Amino acid sequence: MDDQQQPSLEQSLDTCLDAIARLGWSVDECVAQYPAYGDRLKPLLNAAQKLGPARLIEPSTAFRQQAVTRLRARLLPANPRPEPRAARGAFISVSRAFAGVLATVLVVAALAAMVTVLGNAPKAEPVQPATADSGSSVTPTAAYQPTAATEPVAATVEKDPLEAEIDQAMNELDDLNAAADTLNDEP
Amino acid sequence: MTAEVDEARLILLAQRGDQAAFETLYTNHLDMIYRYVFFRVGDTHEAEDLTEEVFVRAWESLAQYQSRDTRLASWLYRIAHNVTVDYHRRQPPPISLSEPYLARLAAADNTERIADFQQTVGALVAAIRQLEDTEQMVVILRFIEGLSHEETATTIGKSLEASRVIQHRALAKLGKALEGEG
Repeated sequence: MDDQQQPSLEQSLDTCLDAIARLGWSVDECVAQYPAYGDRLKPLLNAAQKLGPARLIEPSTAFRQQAVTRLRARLLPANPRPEPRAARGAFISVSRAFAGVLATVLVVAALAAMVTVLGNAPKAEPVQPATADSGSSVTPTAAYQPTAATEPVAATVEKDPLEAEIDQAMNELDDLNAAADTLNDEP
Repeated sequence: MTAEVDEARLILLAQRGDQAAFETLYTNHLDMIYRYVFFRVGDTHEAEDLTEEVFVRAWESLAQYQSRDTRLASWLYRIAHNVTVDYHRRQPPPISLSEPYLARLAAADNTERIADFQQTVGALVAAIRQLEDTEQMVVILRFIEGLSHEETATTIGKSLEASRVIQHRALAKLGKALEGEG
């Protein structure tokens, strides 16, 4: 074999190790391929062969059976989570907390508005039907005047900003709930 | 190929925080990491604890793992190596080797064979532990775990040529240490 093409001892050793492991060659068969290194290759290959029994080492049955449970117990207390997920999780938590606070404020505002509207209801007395024997000081004629009956209602619909605010608040609340549901549904 | 796809999917799920997916990866890689750790520390109970530690660390840093750069097994072996290095810094090497090494032999109820095997493994552990750190890595990965030389070189972070030199040196030392064995 030409010296320039001759592989190094390390390369020959590596080739032999692979041939033994993957092609089932014997040590002697391989050494015969590299007569220049024969004396030096053989003890190295024999040493590698002696490591064979080490491949049979495995965890005990008891450890294998408890392995996942033991690992789970160690992961849970620290509750570590990979960072990208942690960042997203933090965002979702803050979003949820913010949505919760905002929803509470809006509901309180809505209730307050409703109370105010109901509190204004007596002003609409003229529109209530009066009977002849009701003893009301309101005259029947006045009670049934179209203008008297419709004006307060129209005023409530067109002018009362509170009802509009309630509607808007409820719409926003729906939007927030929908957004929270979307965040919850994300994997 | 399917196994690789499955592993990639499990890694992705685990990186998103899916603990069940990570547990499957743990089960799939348990034996190889245990063996690696066992030959580094020579004690079954320590090997169990440290194997667990490897996967706890893997879970904690899984977000940094890039599958396109390194195979998961190589990445886990590196963590295992670091864990065992830390272990040796903390404690002196155990004086004696601890009992059952092989569940399969124990199940076969062959007392004589178990005793022979334990003696052989004890000698191997003692011989391997006389090697330098990187030599131990090469010997365990290449001859016990059966990694190719390319995978071994990648895992230990050396060139193929450097890894071959380490392999040669390690086998020469092992040959002397194991004279009369086997």
